[in-house]
Amino acid sequence: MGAARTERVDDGRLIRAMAQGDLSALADFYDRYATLIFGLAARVTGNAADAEEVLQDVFIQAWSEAARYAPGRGSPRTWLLTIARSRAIDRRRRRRRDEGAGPSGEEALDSREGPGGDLEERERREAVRKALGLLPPEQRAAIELAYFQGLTHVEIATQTGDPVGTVKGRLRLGIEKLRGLLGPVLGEVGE
Amino acid sequence: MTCEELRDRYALYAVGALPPEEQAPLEEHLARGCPTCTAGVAAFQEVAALLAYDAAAKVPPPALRERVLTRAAAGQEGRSPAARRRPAWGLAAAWAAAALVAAAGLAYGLALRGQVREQASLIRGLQVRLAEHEDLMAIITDPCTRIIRMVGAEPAPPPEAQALWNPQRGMRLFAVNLPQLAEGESYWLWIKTATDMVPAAAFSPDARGNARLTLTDLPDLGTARGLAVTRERDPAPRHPAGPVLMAGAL
Repeated sequence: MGAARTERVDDGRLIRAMAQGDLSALADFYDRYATLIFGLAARVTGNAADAEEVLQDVFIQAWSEAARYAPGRGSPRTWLLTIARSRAIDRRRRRRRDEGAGPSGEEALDSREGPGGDLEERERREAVRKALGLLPPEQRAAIELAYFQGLTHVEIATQTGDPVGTVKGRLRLGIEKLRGLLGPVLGEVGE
Repeated sequence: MTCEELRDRYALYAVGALPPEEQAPLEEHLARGCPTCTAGVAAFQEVAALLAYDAAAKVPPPALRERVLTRAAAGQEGRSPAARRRPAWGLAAAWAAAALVAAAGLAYGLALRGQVREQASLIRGLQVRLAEHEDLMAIITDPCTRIIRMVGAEPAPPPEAQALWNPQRGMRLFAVNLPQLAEGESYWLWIKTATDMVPAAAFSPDARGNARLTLTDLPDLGTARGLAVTRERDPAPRHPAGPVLMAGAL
C-alpha cells in the first residue's frame, strides 16, 4: 500500500517464481528477509552458529516448499516467519537438550547489529516495538517467553509461579491487543 | 472437538504456547480443512509472525547468501517437475498416486541424508497420507458411492472436479486447474436442492491450482440435485454471489 511497495515485486510473485525453480527469485527473497530472519534466529537460539544454520535451513525449506505455499493460509511473510520461528525453536531445544538446561552454552553473538533491512522493515520494527510497549508488562513477558523461548503456557506458569489460567488469559489478551494495535501493519500486506 | 471449543486455542497456537496434547487436536482439525478454524488461526498467525520484528535486526555474514544459493542450485535436480499427465482412472486416484510417488521420493532422499529427526516427522507425514489413502480407497470401492464430475467452461485449461459422494462416508472433492484467488476470496462448494443452493464449505487451491476437500457430514441425499463451485468474496455467503465456475448433477 505504501509508496515503497509499488517498486518491488510482491512476495507472492517471488514465491511463485521460486516454485518454478527461479534462483534469482530466491536471491531476492533472501535479500528481503535475511536480516529479519537472522535477527529472529539469533534471539531465539542465542548462538551465532545456530543462527547461521537456521538462516540457511529456512531459505532452503522455503525454496523446496515454495510450490506448496497456499495464499489462503496467510501472507508469504507469515509463511516464511512461521518456518523460521519453528526451525529456530527446534534448534534451541536441541542445543539445550544436548548441553543440559541453562544458558551456559550460549556464545557471544557477532553483533553486526545495525539498522538492517529496508525502510519498510524498519517501520514495521518500530510499529511492533511500540505496540509491545503498550501491553501490560506481564502480557508482554508471557508472549515473549512463548514466542522467543518456545515455552508452553504450562511452562510459563511454572516459571512465573502464576496459575495456568492466568497465563493463558495474559497470552490471549496480549495477542488480541496486538492484533488491534498492529491492524494497520497487517493491512498493508495485500499480496 | 468442535470449532467452538477449538477457537479458544487460536491465539495460543499462533504464538506457539500450546502443549502437545492441546496442539494435536487443533492441528488434526486444521488438516481436515475446516475453513472457519483455518481462517481463525491464520488471522492470529499474521499477528504472531510480526513478533519477529521485535528481535534486533542482524546482518548475516555475506558468505551465507552464496551458501544458500549454492545449496538451492545443487538441490535443483531433485525437484521433479509436476507430473501433469493424469492416468485415465480418474482424478482421485491420480491425487493418491502423485502423493505416494512424492512421499516415496522424499523418503528415499531423506534416508540417504540420515537425518533422524526429519525421518520421524516424515513417518508421521506418511502415516497421515496412508490414512488418507485408505480412506480414499474405502470410498472409491464402496458400491454406494456416487461419482459426480464437475466441468468448467472457462479459461483453458478449464477447471475440473470430481466428487465422491457417499451417504455414510461423506464427500471427497478433488479439483484441478482452479484459477488462483485474490486476497480475501475463497471458492465455495454449494449443494443444489430443488429450490435452493446450500453452502457446504470453502476451500482454496494450492500454487498449482489443485484443491481437495473432505466433508464428513452431508445433508440428506434425497434432497440434493447436484454440486456447484463459485468464487466468493463474502467469508460466509448464504447465497452464491460469484459466477458458477463449474457444476455437476448428482
